[in-house]
Amino acid sequence: MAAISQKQLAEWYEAYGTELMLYARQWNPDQQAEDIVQDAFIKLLKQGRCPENVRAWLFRVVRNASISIVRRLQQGRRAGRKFLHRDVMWFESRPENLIDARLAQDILQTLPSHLCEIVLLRIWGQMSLKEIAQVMSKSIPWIHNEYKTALEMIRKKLEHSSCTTKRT
Amino acid sequence: MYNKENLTGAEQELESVLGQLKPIANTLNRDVLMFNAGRATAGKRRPWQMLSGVLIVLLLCSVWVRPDLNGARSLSSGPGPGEFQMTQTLYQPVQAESSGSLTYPMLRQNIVKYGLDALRFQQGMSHSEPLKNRKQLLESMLSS
Repeated sequence: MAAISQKQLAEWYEAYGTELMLYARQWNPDQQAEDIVQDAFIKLLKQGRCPENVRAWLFRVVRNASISIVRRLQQGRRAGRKFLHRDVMWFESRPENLIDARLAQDILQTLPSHLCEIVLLRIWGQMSLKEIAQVMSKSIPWIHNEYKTALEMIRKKLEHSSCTTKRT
Repeated sequence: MYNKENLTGAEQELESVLGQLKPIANTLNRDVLMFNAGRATAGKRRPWQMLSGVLIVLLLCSVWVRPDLNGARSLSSGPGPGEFQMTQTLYQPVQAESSGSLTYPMLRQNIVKYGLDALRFQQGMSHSEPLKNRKQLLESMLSS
């Protein structure tokens, strides 16, 4: 457990900043996601001691902050996340993509919240199932099963959307 | 235990297709983050730093408010009792000397006793009164 320098913090920011932003965007609008990610890094520096797994620690802090904000909003009888944050783009739209960025985002947003979270952590967060289990405080087999379920649902939705595109 | 081997070929392919999508670049400025991080950590003050700061302020205040030893008080609104006494003792002899009612009988007594030389001696000691003609002074003394 070593002390954290500002240089180290900058390196971590370069390495994980984008993935953390994507992870935070599933719950929050863009500006709020930025604030949450920034707060997570500041909290890390303030903590003084380096956690064992910095990446997992950052994702967990972002998750806790986002969930607490969502709960606060739900208590205030505000609209759900899926209606609030549809305008914010998650992925870059590039011609070399094999799947449309907007379509992928829409499919991910229609998944149950925990499935979307697992997919984001696994594919774009590049986390192992063990790390995801730590972040979500669940068992590894449960994460594994849910991940397979999520991939199956995404595949079906993609097939469905390609069928409807062909028909039109 | 739970690696890519546990996924089917179709699932792995889907993973790689999704993985090609690049998340939107972070809009958060790195410099802003570092500035905020630095400011947040700089705000953390230890008790001894606060205590030493307070002591420095008190020391500066005590130097600023320190009373002048020559008697001139910068912050007091009126004269204190000690100052009043000192003023009285300093100015009392001067008032007695310059007062005409006290010097005149003494001068008269001296002239009666020592003659006109006493008048010359008195003029040499005191320069507060303007010099007069001896004759006029003698006449004024005799007439009183």
